[in-house]
Amino acid sequence: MSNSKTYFHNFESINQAKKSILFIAGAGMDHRLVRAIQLSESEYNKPLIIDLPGHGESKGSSSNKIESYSEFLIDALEAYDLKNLSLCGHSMGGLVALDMVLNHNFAAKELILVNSIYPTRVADALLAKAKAGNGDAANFIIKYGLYRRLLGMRNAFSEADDLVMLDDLNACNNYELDLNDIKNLDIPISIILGSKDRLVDLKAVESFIDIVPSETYTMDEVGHFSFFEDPEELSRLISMIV
Amino acid sequence: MQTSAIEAQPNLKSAHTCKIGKVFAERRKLLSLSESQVASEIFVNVNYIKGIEHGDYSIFPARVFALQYFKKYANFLDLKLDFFDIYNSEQDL
Repeated sequence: MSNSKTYFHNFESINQAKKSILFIAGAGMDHRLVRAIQLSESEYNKPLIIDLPGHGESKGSSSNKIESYSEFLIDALEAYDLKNLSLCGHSMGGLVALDMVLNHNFAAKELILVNSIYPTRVADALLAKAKAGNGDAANFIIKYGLYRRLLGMRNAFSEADDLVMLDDLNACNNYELDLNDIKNLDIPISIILGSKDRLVDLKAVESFIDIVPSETYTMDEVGHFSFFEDPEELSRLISMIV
Repeated sequence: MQTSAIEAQPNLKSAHTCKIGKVFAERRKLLSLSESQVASEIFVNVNYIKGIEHGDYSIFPARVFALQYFKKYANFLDLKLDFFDIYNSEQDL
């Protein structure tokens, strides 16, 4: 579904009686993130995801501010009076989800961070690759982030001749919030991490969970791309949480 | 996103962690639960349950996982136990 500018994935047949989860993709990624996620059709709507500006099939420009993305999603969701909606953000998408509930009072039922934590600071080497182009950055992230051997992982990233990855990675770097504000949120927070994820700073995870009441789950033998490396286990965990 | 190497854990088992692990195992058995049942109940890999009960934390990918699962398992069994931070302790190794 598209309103010519924004691509809404799986929004065409929402049943308000069922649970809904809005997935938010990480840097340079789009609706293809959820292609292998399987949720019980009797209990859940299909995985919802909106391509961010300049990503996937949405028009517009990417941004180097997480706040721009969260505002975009809040606006995009306005047309849908979604009840029972949870947010599940992958990597950069987790920061966007945090910003939606923190700075826009978005009433999510649950908040799930997958391979994601605040703060997310990007290594200079990765930024340098992103300045060269999306392909170089994607190769770098796949090299360090993917644990299981997966063919076609590159297809999950933008192929466009722009600097969407650079914008997204800068957005992660630029994003600032106060963890003490999160701890006062009345929304259950879960963190799902890959045991072999080399792109998430585990010290940051420790700092986060020291302050913010949350549940942590591990996916064994999985790197930064849980959605692709073990979608079955991730689906099971998400279904258990939401 | 940082890029860090995943390092092999050093010996993360001590007399103290073993002693704490026995408290977990005894309480679990008192409740007539198997390790697998606990793992299934609290959505934790059964090897992590075994690691805690055997006092061997080298099974965990990092301290943060050991700490979280220790707390989760202790809560499940209603045990009031402090996490012995073997990761940051030179003594009792």
